[in-house]
Amino acid sequence: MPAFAGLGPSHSRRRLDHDEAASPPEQAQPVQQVSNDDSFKTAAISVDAPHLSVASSLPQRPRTADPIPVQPPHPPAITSSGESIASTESWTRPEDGEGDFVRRTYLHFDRTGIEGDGTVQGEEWTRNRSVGAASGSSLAPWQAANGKRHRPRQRRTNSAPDRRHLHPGDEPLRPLAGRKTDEPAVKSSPLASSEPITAATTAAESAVFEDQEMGDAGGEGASSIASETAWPDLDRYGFFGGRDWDSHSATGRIVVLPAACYAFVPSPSTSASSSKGKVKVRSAAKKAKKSLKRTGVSEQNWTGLPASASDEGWGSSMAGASTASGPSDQASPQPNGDAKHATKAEEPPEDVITSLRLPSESLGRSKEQARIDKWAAMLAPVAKEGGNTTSYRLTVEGLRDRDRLERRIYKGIPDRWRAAAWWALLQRESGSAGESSSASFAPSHSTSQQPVDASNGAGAASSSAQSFPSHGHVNPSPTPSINGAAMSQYSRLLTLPSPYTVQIDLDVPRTISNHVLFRTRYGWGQVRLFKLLHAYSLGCSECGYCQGMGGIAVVMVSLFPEEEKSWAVLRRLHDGPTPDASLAPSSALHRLFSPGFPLLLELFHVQSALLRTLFPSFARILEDAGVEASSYATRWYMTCFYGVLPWETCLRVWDVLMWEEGGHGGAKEERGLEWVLPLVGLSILWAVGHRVVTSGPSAAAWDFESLLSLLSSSNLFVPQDDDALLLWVRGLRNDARVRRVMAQAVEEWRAMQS
Amino acid sequence: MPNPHYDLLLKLLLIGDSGVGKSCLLLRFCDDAWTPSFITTIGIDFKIRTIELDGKRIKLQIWDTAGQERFRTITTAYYRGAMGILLVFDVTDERSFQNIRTWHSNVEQHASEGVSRLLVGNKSDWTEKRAVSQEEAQKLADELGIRYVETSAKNNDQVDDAFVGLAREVKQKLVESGAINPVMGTATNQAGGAGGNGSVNVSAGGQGAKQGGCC
Repeated sequence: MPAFAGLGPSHSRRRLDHDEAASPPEQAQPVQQVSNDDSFKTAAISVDAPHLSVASSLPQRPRTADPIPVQPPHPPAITSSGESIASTESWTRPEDGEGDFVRRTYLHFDRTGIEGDGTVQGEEWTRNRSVGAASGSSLAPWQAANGKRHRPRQRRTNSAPDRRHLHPGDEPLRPLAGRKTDEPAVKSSPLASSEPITAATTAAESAVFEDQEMGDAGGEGASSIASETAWPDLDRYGFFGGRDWDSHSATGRIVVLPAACYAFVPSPSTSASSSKGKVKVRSAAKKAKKSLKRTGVSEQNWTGLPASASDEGWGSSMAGASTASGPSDQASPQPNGDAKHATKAEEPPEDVITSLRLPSESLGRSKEQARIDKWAAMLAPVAKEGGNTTSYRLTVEGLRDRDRLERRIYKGIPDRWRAAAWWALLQRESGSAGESSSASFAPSHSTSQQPVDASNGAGAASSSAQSFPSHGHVNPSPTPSINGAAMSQYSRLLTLPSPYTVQIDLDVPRTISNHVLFRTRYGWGQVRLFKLLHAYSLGCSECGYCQGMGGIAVVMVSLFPEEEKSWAVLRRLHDGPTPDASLAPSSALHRLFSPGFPLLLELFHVQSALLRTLFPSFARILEDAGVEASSYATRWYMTCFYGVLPWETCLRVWDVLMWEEGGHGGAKEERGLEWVLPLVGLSILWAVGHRVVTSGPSAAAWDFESLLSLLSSSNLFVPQDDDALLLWVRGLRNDARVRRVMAQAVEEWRAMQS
Repeated sequence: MPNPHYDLLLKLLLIGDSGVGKSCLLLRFCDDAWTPSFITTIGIDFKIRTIELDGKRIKLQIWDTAGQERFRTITTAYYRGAMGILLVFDVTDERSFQNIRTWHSNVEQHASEGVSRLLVGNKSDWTEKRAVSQEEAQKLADELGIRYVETSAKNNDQVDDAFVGLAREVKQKLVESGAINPVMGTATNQAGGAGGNGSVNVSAGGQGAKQGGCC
């Protein structure tokens, strides 16, 4: 079965759309049937399906050709049968049936939900390769015990996989503390599931998947432990016990980014390669060091902690903390040294990240209510057709002052308004090319503060607010409801097989864990993540699925509980604001993920240019040691800092990325997330670099290993103060000289490539 | 690692299909830890561990790579600097075993000549799901002229054997080739004592990788 059937004949499709009004009937594809399971029958797919336009409007390379012939070790072209051709390499790939089984499994649990979602680990089914479609059985293992019952109800049998034997990748979720044989279960999940969870399970019944309508847990041990089971502590973002450290970066270490480092914003003119510049940088480093002492941050806790599971567990490192205070013993840089840090001894280990940050008062948390009010004044609801889903747009008042809005973005959109604001920011970009940022801020719309019916694009007067996500439509006007368009495309893509299904299934559980939405195998969050990535993998034939997308998708899933919104935002980010059906998308995300990673390599180049200009002493140290950006910064950029910075900080970075992607960041040739990502990367290097260059005479002792251990891509970088970091980034972003350095680096890089 | 001093630095590299447990092996070997909640390796990662071998301190610089094919644009740039390469597959996953040949030809293409290699079958604890027999794997290893070790990162079974064994092989080769003195009084630069200097050039993108393959 052709993997890309339905997406393939796009050339003819586009020609038809542009040249002729109607598609001839012979263009229609035959109905495809993906599986024999009647619950998962695919929809008929024809080439003139109106909502396949995102995929089909992308340029399609001939299927037999190499996607990027100039990149030597690139992924071979994937053919319909899942085998590679046009390549001397012979990779064994998952068979269609295997991917099909995976997809059916997720869709199944999407319908039925999982009991105890958010608290239980759940059972692994899809990586259990010996069962499933490959076995030739038409029934999935979760169906097998129940014959042809429409809804599965399976009890664990001897042949079912034993959890004890689950493996890396198979058992991605950390067991709940104290869980031995009992699966904690709850009556309902406040966050996790839109579907009510009706029954509790006991240990004996932990593998029983019960339909909602079945109600009873169906068995001997189905006493209600639900009432006894308390929810574990969740932080405000849904992580258990606030330990996003665990889930993000379990194999790395925590590196603290002291707030004091960001007190000084460098500029190319002050720190050029002149000797004067060096003095400046050094004095800045001194200044930083001084204020570090002032704030009671010892040198030792720049890099505080080993992995939670390392020799020194949390307990001992925390015990060590009580004895290690004060900036003593800072002579020898020992990135792999003691796990001492100067957090207060009474802090529980769960709060380690919080404890590394400055007290919330000083971070302006008390101002949160004021900020919520400000954002409430800047956003106005947009009524949605036939439902209570409400989107927001920026009001004239919100747009009145670009600088003020920018400042508020960099100060962090309040959690409560974040999703609405992101949506509104992306919508602001006009579909017409060439609109300058100042123009987009002119209160040109007569809509004033009255709600606009976004679903009725034909009638709406203003073009710019209505063009989202225009790439999904061949005919940009009238713009149908985003809801309908995105959703029908989304659900259609979910009926198609993707050659990446098995890889996505492998990555879904190991993208995030210890979060209430994503904890349970095939639970609400994992299903959403899978569906979103599956659709994404089909949305752009050139990019397909690439590891790293998960870190971006997981943010969208968490922020936008409505599937169509997370999908629409992702598509909008991927396709860019001004899609041209005749061109490949040139958006940052597309260039980030397409084979060969053109943007990633460009970002490395920009980053090193920035570092050389703004922090030459550290640049030289890295260079002398032979530390390459690709060794540590690949994850930074491929995930947009998901898992690199704490969740909260990552969201704040996304605030800015949305601002940039919405086209507000700068002049039109200088906007998009590629203008902020390297500055965020630089902010990490800036703090880490100060740690290195201020280590005095022992600075020379920093060799390749110690530097790279400090920068390792599995480390979690915890800013003491997000505000300080973000405002530092803003300072650079608004410095024309910095932008010139970046633009020059980009130009240089592109010239080198051509 | 309280004592930064070492007598010899060896660079090892882990490659293999996505999800076979490369990162878990590395975490087990370097931190003696196991975590079920690990994350996808994106691009390349790095850990160090210093071991004692014949009374000498050997510092192992171990590179972990992303398994997804697409990332080979990044990861193959690291093949060339590697002195030992672990080709990892999952004994419960037939496909990952079949792909070993392709990984191996990648090594031939991009790594330095004479690089030591080791075939590693991970997840050996998962006996009832085993899809690749020890004999099959051994046969392939014989064919490729390399050693085969079966490991379980989860149960800490033979993980040290795999890494230390490969390190021993690399060291032996260096001694034989005269790159280092068998007594090894001090680290020699020829053996890579200067860290990762110059061994990696990914910034040139595809061209860099190509160069790595042909020179």
